[in-house]
Amino acid sequence: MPRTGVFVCWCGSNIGGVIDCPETAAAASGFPGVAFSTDYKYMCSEPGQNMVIQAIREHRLDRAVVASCSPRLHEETFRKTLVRAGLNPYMLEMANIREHCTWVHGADIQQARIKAVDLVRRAVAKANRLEPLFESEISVTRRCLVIGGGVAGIQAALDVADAGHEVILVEREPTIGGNMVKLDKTFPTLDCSACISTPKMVAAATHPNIKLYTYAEIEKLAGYVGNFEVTIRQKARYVDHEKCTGCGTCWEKCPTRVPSEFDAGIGQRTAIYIPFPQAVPNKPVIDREHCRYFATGKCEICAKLCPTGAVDYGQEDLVLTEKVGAVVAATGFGLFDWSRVYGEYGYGQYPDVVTGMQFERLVNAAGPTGGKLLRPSDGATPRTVVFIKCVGSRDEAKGRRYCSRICCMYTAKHALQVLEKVPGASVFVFYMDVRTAGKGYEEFYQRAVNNGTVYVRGRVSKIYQDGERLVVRGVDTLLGRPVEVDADMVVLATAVEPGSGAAETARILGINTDQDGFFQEAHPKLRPVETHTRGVFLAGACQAPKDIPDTVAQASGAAAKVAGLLSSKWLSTNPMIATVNEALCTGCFLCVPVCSYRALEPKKITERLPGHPPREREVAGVNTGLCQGCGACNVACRAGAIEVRGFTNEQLLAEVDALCQ
Amino acid sequence: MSVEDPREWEPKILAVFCNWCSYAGADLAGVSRMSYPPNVRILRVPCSSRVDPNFVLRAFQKGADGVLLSG
Amino acid sequence: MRYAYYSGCTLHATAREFDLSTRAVCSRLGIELEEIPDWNCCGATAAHATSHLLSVALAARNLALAETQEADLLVPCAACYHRLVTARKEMSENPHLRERVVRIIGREYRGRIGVRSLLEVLDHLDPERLAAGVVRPLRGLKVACYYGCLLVRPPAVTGFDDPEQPQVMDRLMRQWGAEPVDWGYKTECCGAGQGFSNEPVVLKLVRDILATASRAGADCLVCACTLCQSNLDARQGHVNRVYGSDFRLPVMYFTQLIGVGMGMEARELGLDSLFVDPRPVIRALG
Repeated sequence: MPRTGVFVCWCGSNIGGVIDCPETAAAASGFPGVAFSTDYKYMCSEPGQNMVIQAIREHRLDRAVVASCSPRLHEETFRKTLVRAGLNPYMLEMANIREHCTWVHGADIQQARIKAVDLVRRAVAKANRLEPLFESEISVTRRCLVIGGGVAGIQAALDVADAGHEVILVEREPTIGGNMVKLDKTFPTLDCSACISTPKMVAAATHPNIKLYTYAEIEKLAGYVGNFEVTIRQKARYVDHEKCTGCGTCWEKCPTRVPSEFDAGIGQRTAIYIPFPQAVPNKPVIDREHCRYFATGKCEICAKLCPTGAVDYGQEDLVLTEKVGAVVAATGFGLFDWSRVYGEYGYGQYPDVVTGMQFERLVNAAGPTGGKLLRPSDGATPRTVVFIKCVGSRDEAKGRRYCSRICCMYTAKHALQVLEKVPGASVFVFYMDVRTAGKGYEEFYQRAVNNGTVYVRGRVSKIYQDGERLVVRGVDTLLGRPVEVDADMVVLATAVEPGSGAAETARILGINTDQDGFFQEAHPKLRPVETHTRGVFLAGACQAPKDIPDTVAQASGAAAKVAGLLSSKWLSTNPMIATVNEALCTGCFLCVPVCSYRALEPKKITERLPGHPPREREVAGVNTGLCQGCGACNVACRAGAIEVRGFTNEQLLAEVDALCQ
Repeated sequence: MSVEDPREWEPKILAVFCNWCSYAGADLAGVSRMSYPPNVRILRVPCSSRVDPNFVLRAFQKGADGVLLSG
Repeated sequence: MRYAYYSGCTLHATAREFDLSTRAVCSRLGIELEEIPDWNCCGATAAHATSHLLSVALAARNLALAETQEADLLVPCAACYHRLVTARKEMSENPHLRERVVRIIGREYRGRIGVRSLLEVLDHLDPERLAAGVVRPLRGLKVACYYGCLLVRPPAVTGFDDPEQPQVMDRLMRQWGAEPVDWGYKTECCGAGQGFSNEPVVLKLVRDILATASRAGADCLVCACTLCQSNLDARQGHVNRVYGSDFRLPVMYFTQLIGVGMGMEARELGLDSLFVDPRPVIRALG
């Protein structure tokens, strides 16, 4: 027979001012198993806790019910109280008579009193069926994997490395730097993007705690928090980076020219190339698809000219593994391909209709035009430039539902750049709303307006080429009339979307994506850098569209979480997780697919039954590092072999009975 | 509980709430000092996937008039 | 290849040359046309602006008649095509409407036949078979293909070409040796619907279309709609008077140009009955 103690807290007048706490305690004394009950002004205070400890000792109580505030607030507090009294901390149950009763039913004191007693009855019913639980410990590999070498990945890697932990930074492109290093200026300060990102790239590459893999992708992640093993595919570069000095002879002499991905297709690169002059590492790779040697078996100019003999056409992909304790996903974003769907803007057939990213390269001093604003078709200086926002954003018919968050600001930046580079230029921005939430952002937008940008509220219905000019036809919804602008160039602010391959990365990491394909955080407000897979964290635009300041802040947040996780060699695990009664388990494995955390897998046991030879059988096994105790398996188990500790069928049914009485 | 006079009859509702969202939501309702009818009794589960159909059947068996699952 | 043929009212009157050239071209390409017996108005203009039910019922009667011919319905006129294809879709998606309409028209209608625009049919012909018909290629002729508002819109109903950047007519003209120009007014409204009620607006719209086509270097306009053709063709003099311009841009049906490419005589194709005489442009082809 359990010996349960019930402790009813007044919480000052929060509870005591609505219900009669001594009356509630007296009612509780009649419940089955209750050996002692009392009330007190502030149960969580030092004297209150001491009172609980003393009552446990005096009345030989083996479990306790505290009727006070939400367990989300003080469950930990009172578990520690129980430990001080010599009990197992999990022999505690709380009745939430403040948030769920007195604070919401203050207008109906009579019903609140009845309800408080009911809530205590439920807690007692559960408490009577509690069992001691014990935390276990797992070891932690104190290394971190960062996936993606954009500004988010670099920041997270640097912060974790500075905290003293080894970092594996994996980037699929030939250089780190991501999208940020392609930009010209950054809002709202207009400082040069390369000037602030290239030093960080170098810092990451040279940090003694950071091991950098570029031109590499992750293929598999096995294990669980503290004990992951990642499989990395190092793609063949066909250049031995040990021998290569990055002298540049090969990419100067390569005869093949293809559109440069780094320049968003408006510049060109060679087949053996570095994406841009400040690339890290500053050593080339060969693009096998376009290389003349791989296509025809002839050429070999780069191999012949290389002074160190670093070109190696026979190089193959390398698959290797690394052990880590934590993972940060920082895979960034991609841009919506407008040319597939926006026929009214010409499906990409007009060369002077460009995207915001192409505009960045056009005004970038390191870009294909050397920073001169020249339009792609004929190299002329555009005197009238039209910007169209929300191309693919907030457009359910053709694109994405959500707001891409950065376009209002970068369009204002682009407008200012046109006005600065082309004196006397006319700049029009077609917009739906202008959203400038951020430090210094509204002021920046006002500057674009005051410097002469014409903001037209309305959508553009059509762009067509008429001779050398582009006719942009739209509507000014504030004036309520159609407008037509003869433009030399049109810039589309295309939507931010998950990076290509994000879905595959999510699958490999075992994390969820939201309805738009971005990685799902564990809680939108309170756990924004964590995922539902313990030990896997998020940084940057892979979680949602973000600007640079927010990305860097989130990356540092993820790094802090990683540093916390790696701060100890051991990790205690939550004991309130699934457990399998192997004798009952039939090995149907219905529980395996329902587990979002991949915590269940078949395991072999040897069964010894009297009168039978020992036999081997497969049953479900719970990985205590992965299990989050959600209980999906518990419900799915036909044999009733799985139970979530702390939320067993017996306990929950007893609670239902008590509440419906 | 009396069924004779419908004006006095009040339903008894069992609410099964996920610890991470709707239970926290009910906490927030309290913190915000919102007011709602006292008929509802909340049961906390670690996740809405822990809700077994048996809980619902048992609730009706034991006299509940409605069950609210939220998660 | 056999089709039930719906000419519609204009092809018997103001757009007789569209009918002439369609029949001539189809006959040469081995496309057999059987005019629907006792056809009636397609339901365009007045009907669909006043009663939805009437507009569907009018079109449905034609569809029901065509169904007895056991062949898909071929429609040259863009407005007729639009009405018939819309009515067909609405009835197939709404059985209740179909039942109601069947009661009104007093004929069986099962929705078994398709409705095809002549452009769509020609686009699906075997290119070799088309090429064999070209005896006098339209080499060097710069044409501005004008689709107008009804032919490719709304895409959910018509669906055979892109609503923003249609290509069917351009492809066809290219097969006949002509050079379609890139221009931005392919699907702009010509204003024909407002022809009598709001003339200044129509004149501006016509002027814009003619001006854009001229600037793009077109020798002529090619269209597939009887309203567009007469509006763009007959109003050029008026436009010139109002705007002080000097447009003399022939506006032909695509079937007329195809006929020219097949070596037919101008009279066979009704080229002599247009307001802006296209014959100088044709003769210049040599």
